[in-house]
Amino acid sequence: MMSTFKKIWKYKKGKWGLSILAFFSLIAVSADFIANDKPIYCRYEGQAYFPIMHEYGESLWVSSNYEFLDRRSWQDLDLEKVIFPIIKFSPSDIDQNSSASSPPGTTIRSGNITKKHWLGSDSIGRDVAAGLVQGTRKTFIIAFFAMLITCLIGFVLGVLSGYYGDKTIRMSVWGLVLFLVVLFLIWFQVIYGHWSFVLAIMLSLVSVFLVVFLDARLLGKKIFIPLDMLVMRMIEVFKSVPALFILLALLAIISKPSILTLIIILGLLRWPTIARVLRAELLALKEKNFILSARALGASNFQIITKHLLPNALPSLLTIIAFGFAGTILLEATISFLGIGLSAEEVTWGSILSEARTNFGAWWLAIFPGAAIFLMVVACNYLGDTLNEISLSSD
Amino acid sequence: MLSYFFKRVLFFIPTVFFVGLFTFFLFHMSPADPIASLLSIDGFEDDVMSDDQYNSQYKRMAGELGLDLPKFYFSIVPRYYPDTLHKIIDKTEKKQVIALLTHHNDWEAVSSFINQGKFLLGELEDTESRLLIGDLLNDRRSKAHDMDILSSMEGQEREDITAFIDKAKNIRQVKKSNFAIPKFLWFGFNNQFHSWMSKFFTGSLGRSIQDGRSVWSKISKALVWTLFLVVVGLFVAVLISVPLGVWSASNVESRMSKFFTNFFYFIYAMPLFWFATLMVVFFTTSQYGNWTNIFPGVGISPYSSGLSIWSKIIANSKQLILPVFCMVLHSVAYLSSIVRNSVIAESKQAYKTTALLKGLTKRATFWRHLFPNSVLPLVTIIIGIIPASLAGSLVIEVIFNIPGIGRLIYDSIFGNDWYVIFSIVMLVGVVTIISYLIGDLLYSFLNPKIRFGNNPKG
Repeated sequence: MMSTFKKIWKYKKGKWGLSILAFFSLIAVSADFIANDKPIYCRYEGQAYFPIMHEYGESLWVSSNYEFLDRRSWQDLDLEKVIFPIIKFSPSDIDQNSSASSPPGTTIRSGNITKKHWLGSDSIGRDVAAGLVQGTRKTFIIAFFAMLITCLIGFVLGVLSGYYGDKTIRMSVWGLVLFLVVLFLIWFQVIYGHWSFVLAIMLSLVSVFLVVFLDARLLGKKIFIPLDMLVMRMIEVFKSVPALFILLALLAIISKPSILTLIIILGLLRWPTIARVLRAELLALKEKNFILSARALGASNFQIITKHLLPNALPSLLTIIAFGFAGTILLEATISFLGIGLSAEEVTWGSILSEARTNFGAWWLAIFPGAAIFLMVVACNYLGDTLNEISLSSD
Repeated sequence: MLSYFFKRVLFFIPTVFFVGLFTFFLFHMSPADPIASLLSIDGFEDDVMSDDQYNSQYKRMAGELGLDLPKFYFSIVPRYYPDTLHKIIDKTEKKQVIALLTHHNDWEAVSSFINQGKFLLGELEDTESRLLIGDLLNDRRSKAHDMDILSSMEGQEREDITAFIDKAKNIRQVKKSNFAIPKFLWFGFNNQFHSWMSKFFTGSLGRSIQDGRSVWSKISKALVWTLFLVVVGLFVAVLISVPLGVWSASNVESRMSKFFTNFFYFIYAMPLFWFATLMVVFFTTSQYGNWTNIFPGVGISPYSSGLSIWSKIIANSKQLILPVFCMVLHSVAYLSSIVRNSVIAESKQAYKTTALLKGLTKRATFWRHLFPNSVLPLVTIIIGIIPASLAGSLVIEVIFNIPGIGRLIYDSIFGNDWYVIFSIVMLVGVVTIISYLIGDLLYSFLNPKIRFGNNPKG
């Protein structure tokens, strides 16, 4: 892993890509300390407080509310010493003093504190910079976990079709039929409310094991299971409707999705690319001599896949993952921009940008969030290009 | 070649079937009730008519839409289910029946309970007891509440309600087996999925539940705008990007070529919706200087009635410049880099040297050997980006307010207009599949390796 980073760092594009991504992930991790309406540190009546850390404690149930404070009144206290974050707004903080969109650099006094909208504010007075910072975190969370799901599905299906292929797995016809019937019966009970979900999962696992162990003993004709054909047909069906339209149809049903549902939906969309690339890689790799030798040494399929095949396929997989990451970010931003993503209170890059459409005068709403998406996408593309070059040069 | 052709076309059918199945499934997941919406468009309102009248209208409309048919060719349900569950059209009622059935595996008892409940609802006058019956049917019952009502009643009504409460208690007692034995029901071709698919391919897609107009007329009007954007956009993009890519590849070292490569790299990474928004914000108003009002404002007047759609496009041609420009620039960014890379890759091949060595001029080498080989993959790529440009066109249509397919599906999502949404998804799916098919066939036709025998796999 470390050596991959070192290799990437040697390329100019790779250096830029990694730096930008590192910058954004730093913002994502420390978002609460960069943009917040609470101070990081303050002294009040002779005592020191760390309000932002304290809030983490509150959400973990280890510390209780500050009693001297109702939530929004930091500006009215006489603090002896105070350190504020760079952006003195929370993303959903609606600024009462200037409700209209104010240009970058506008300074507001509220109580004892001077606040500055570094990148301006939107039409209901929410700070753009704070929104961008919080949006970074959301973008990362959504794209990361969505790609995780995508990779899981893509890896499994890619290995099934590329490594096992059409002519590896053999099952006796009766065993297969019996297995499918049993599996059907188990899940039938769950659907019609007779068994619990957990029981069904356990029983399914048991029946899978039974099939694996008993299949050799079952009589009857044995047939190959055309895994490759099945996966390729699945990919073909999946690719036949553009992702954005599938997304629209799904979001039409689940209006106002939560972050979790959005992650799941986005994660289910992009696996065909990964499965395809992995399949192509495995098809080429599995005929190579080192795989034959590994098999001759008695390595199991699992060992061959995890120890020999996946590491060798990694560069091209990482390439496709980097591009997929960019694509997921773009897709998420697109649906937020169209106003059918996360609910309106959740500020994301796309949702800030979409406000520029109704507010032509506010150029800062058009430039900054778009630039953030753009930078992110360019960084991922740079990384993808670099990884691609690395994988080509290592061949 | 011919067998390859048939093989590809044969794969087309199951793909369309599954895409149809997927959209149909989503359609039935959707929460809205198209029957009620269509009835209210036709002027039948729930609260104006009597219940009986409304119900009969409801049934009639359900029959018209085919929603009283079974959903699929077959169904596998537990043995205690009735064969005709699909006759219950109302989604909440169906849920209620299924909840009761799951709890108490006896269709006779459940149906008589529900029928009696409905009968009582029809007979009883006062709201209190109607509420009680409704609660009992829905399994939301408070005991203290029952007694209050009963004490204020007398005679036949009291007896009826007491009997019903007893029945409800009986039904609430679990009578549930531990294992549901499945039963297979075959419905034949007279089902919703089949009629939905055949209606889709004969062009009668039903009515929009927003305004009652036929979905097909809505879609076909919108389709012209989208086709215009996509086709003109791609056409212009190809016209620009092929010469540009070739030029850029043959002058790799020149400063201009490097500039263009980098420029398009960034344009391609720029989200289309950001680029379009920037254009709209900065170049359609004179807010940022006297010269920035280059393009006309956003928005097409779609209801300039009386004009044919083509004359509408011509009338709005000024408004279309900017959207087409955005789409073209984005496609050029992608296509020109592909042409460039492909030409560069081909010029490293040995056959180029061979051609030069046997005495062909550079020009002839390029046009006879390099160019055909490097442009060939472009056929598949251009056709392959049709789906992507449909998606791009969606964003552009929303930003520039063009009444195309994308705008239509976008508006339909906010209006819960399922018939329109799923017809469009299905349409886009079929267009995509067909375009892939054409791309494959065209590629195999243009590629001599495939044209003369040597069938490729898959």
